[in-house]
Amino acid sequence: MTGDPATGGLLEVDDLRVTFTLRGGPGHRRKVELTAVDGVSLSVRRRETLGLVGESGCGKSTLAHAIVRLVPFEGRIRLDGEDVTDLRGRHLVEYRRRVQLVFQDPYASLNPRLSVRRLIAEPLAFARRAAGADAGRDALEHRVVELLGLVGLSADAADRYPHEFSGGQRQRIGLARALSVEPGVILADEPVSALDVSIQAQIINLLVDLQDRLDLTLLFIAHDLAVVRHVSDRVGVMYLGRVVELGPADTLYTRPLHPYTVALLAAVPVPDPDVQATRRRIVLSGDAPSPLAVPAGCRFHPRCPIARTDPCSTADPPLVEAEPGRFVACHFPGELDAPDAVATTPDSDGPPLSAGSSS
Amino acid sequence: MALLEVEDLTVRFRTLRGEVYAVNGVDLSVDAGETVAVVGESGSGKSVTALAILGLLGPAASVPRGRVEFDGQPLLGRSEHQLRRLRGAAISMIFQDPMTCLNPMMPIGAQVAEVLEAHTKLRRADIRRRAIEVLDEVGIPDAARRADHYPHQFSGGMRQRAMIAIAIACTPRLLIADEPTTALDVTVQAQILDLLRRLIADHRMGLLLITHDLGVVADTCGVTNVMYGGRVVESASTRELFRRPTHPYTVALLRSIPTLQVDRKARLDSIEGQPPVLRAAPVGCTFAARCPRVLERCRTDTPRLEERGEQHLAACWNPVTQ
Repeated sequence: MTGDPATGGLLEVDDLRVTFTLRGGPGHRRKVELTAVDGVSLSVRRRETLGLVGESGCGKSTLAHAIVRLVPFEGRIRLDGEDVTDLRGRHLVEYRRRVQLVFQDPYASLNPRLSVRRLIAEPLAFARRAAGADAGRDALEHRVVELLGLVGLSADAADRYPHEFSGGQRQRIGLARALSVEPGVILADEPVSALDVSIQAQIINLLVDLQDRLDLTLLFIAHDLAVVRHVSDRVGVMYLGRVVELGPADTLYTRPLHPYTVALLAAVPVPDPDVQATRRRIVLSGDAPSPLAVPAGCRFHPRCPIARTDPCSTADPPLVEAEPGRFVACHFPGELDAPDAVATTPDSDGPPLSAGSSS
Repeated sequence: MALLEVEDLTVRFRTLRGEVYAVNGVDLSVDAGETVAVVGESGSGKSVTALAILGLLGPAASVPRGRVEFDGQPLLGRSEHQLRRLRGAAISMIFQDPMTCLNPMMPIGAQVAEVLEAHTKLRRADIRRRAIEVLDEVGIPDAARRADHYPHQFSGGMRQRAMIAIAIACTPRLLIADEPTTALDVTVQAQILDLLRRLIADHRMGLLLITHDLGVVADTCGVTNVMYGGRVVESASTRELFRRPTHPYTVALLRSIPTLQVDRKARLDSIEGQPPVLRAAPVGCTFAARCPRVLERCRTDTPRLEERGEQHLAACWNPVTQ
């Protein structure tokens, strides 16, 4: 086992940094730098699902956009050992074929004026022409029907338009589009968070089935920790542009090391009134700070229940391997007890355990 | 006599493609100091039920049947003038998205003061003091200074606190919260649920909480009503409902929620098919088309809510028994 989270995978992200320049102040003359992703290293192994969780603004979507080269970034990205950071032209086209993005909102990502047939055939024809393969009408039609079957839609869906479908069915169309070009890697950015629970379960199961059948490698980005638990082999937790914990899903959920992971798990209400009534509550105060004003030292320390002035408010902890395969960026990993290990304080609005400042 | 009683509430909407039968005979009750959940998926009629209680349905809606009583007084059929005296005073509502409900051009403190001006006889100086007091009560730090700030200067969680401050400024007896934490991150959601719990206990308010999240229900509500296709299909104490669900929809819904405690990559139970869009008066059970326990009569006879245990009602011809 190496001590570097950025190695050993099909898709490797090495010290990735995305900075946006904002304009503010009077007359919008003042320039402000916002670092949305601040030095993220991770690797997604062949055929595994790496889940990425974090709250809004933590940089998880920006990271996905950087991976498919939709936003400029610093750092390196490798696919199957090949550095793809500086690819251009048809090499970039080929890279993007192999790494496909599935979006959260199928209402916004499907062109409402195209039939499902054209929605799926368009990227397919483009990729086939780029590869010099058969992009004739019959070949495309055959493949469109095949793809619709693959995602659980009937062939007559091809003649219909996105507005005729429900949210879950639209997400199936989005998946068929992404799969049309036979990618090896799927980046799914909140693919089920717009869906109702009963439909969400259908799409999650479909995704897991497709991964098995097509040997897909999956980066699954979501804010819902329970959903991520169900699909992931390994999980990364992001906070304010950084990965603060990364490890196998089982141990990360049962024995989290970073206090933020502990607090995040404690905050998810468990759908069982008896369990929920006896869980220990760790309520973080305030919101995550703005990425425009990242705290000094450990970026989680103002909200951290176990932060100490020294070193937490002065030294920025790097992501290190605390146990084989488990990475954590914390000065005191494992010191805050996991929420379900101790069942005390059923008292609901008791004094919060944390001290930190509120925004 | 419960604080709020809803009986056989029926709501229809006129649309260009004909009438939509959004709510089809809903019964509910909320007591003082009690937290009651209405849980359901999109289109189940849960938000429309809340809006109908407050008389906030738009002109396209009609309420052909039903009875809504607050504190023994009927609410349906009251004039807009009478309802306005109640809303924000005796009954308040909190919505999902604080950004679209707060006035972006008005300081937060003034928005709280507005409610107090409308419903109390407090003098100007007292209004300002009371507004700051309420902002402080909902956990806005440095309330006196923050009262002069505008909504865009608040974070999502702080905006939702401000909305709650506006809702409780006149200490209402009933609070209706429609997905109050859905737009928030989990750590902030935990803060807001704690706040609601404390306010309910301190002021003995009744809370009608509308949500799609069964975790939130388990965390906060004493009684749960499950809605499907514009009807309450099951109603019981939250504990009883989670322990012994009897309606096949409730059972399927509980099974389909992903939880934190699972074996690696466990398969989720899903409910096949789609929820109905009710373009005609529903005949039979609205869940029949997706129900694994469907009988012939389910498609023709509408099941009524019947006793399935102590304070446990379900509307089903073929309930699950354990």
